[in-house]
Amino acid sequence: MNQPRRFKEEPVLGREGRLMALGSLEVPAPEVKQDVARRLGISATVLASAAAATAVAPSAAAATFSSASVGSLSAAFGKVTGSFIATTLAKATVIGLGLGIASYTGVRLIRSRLPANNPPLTAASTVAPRRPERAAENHGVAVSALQDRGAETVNTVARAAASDNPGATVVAIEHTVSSDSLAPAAASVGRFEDVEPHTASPSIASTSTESLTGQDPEGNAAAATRAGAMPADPRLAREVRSLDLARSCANHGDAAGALKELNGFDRNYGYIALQKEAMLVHIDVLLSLGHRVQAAAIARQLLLAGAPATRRASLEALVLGQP
Amino acid sequence: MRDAMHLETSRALDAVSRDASDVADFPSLTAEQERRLAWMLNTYFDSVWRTGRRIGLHNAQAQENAQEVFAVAARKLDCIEAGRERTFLLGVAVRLAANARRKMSARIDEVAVDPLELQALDATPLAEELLAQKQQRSLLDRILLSMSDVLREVLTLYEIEELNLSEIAKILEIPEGTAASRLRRSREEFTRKLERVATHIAHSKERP
Repeated sequence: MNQPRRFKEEPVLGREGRLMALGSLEVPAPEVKQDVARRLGISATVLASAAAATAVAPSAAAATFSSASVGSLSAAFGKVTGSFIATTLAKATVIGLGLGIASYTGVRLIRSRLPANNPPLTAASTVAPRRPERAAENHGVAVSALQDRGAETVNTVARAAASDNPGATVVAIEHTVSSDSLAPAAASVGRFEDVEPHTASPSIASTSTESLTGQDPEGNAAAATRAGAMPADPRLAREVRSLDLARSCANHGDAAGALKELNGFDRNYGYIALQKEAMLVHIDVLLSLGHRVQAAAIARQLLLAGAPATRRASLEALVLGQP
Repeated sequence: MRDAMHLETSRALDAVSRDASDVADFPSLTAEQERRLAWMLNTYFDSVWRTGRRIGLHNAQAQENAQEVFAVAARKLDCIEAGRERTFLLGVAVRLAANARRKMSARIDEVAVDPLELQALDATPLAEELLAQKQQRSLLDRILLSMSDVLREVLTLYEIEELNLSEIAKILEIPEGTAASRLRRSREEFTRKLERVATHIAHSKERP
């Protein structure tokens, strides 16, 4: 059945689209939902845990879908390679070599897109220093995304120790990648924590390890140190790494590269835990490329899914076609 | 199995009008059912509430409508197929809201025009944004209210809640072709009414 494009999805938002978008954005006051829950006999605890489950549910669906896709792909791949091996071992060898070369080329390509002064491997990639409000904003998004999903594997604390940058509030995302392996190794993902300037804790600083001490790209003396090692969630680490890469590209003026990374990761894995954060980055990148309509479409989805309060006004303005 | 579940869902929807009258009287839930209902409430409450609003209920009525929807859902939890919660809830919401609307005054035929509303559509300085949005939503609601129930329901579900035609057809229990036809008519009517409002404003501006 041919479905017409919705008014609010028109490239140029007309009056109809504007009205419909406004109609979609209206939400009840938060206490209304709580009131209804109370009347239905749903306890506040169950409602609160359901909020986390609400955030996890798409992840579970995506994970199922992802597993199914991987399973079917593996089966198909197995059939194909099986027949090749049965036919001739030489052909399989050629395929293996081809895959190896392709993987190597891919990794080289990714590494070439990373800025030279930002150590991409076996390093703590520190997203710092930023403007405090921006950092706090991202902190809020990321933490809520993590907390919503009950991510308990996060474990790193970032410390601002920059004497020449006293106002800096640092948000650090640490991850390690094995430089010897083509595939990313299990990564430890940091907890996001705003740190008051000049309050570096000696006890935490003393636990720093040389492999996790990063230098920020602008030469500030901000250092990321580790509070304690805990098992990491590789999926979350992969998302953090991808977002980090996209941000890095965008910050260095390579918006196209950032967009490619976001789209590529979304297509291959999908942002799950950091979905909202990824959408925000995506919107910023699209706007910097002048793709306002696409940015507005993502903004609309984000608003429907529950945008962070700090960005809600600007996203609404974007959806409604305001400058 | 799937057809059987769909049939169950349809029966549950059919029973909505009967069941909605005794909202407070639903069986106590098991812990698992309570969790599922809480999840549904968290995920779909906004959509259900908004659907009531767009179909023509006032704020308090929309809240009451949403509460009734979830009360029905609580009673029919076992009939709601996993993954079809949204369709079920919006289906119930549309039916209950339509019932509530019928009890209210008849629909308006002409959209009352407030020049400020249309001006707000064209230029909205940030300082007046909230007021402008309120005026625009008011205009949207009045245009929707001036449409027939069947057209308003389809337009709301498609344009506001972004359901596809197949989902709308299931919710309203009509053939997909009928849903498509209603959608086309509703979009044309909406555009026509909005144009009429714009023309009216333009003429009133020309007059001294």
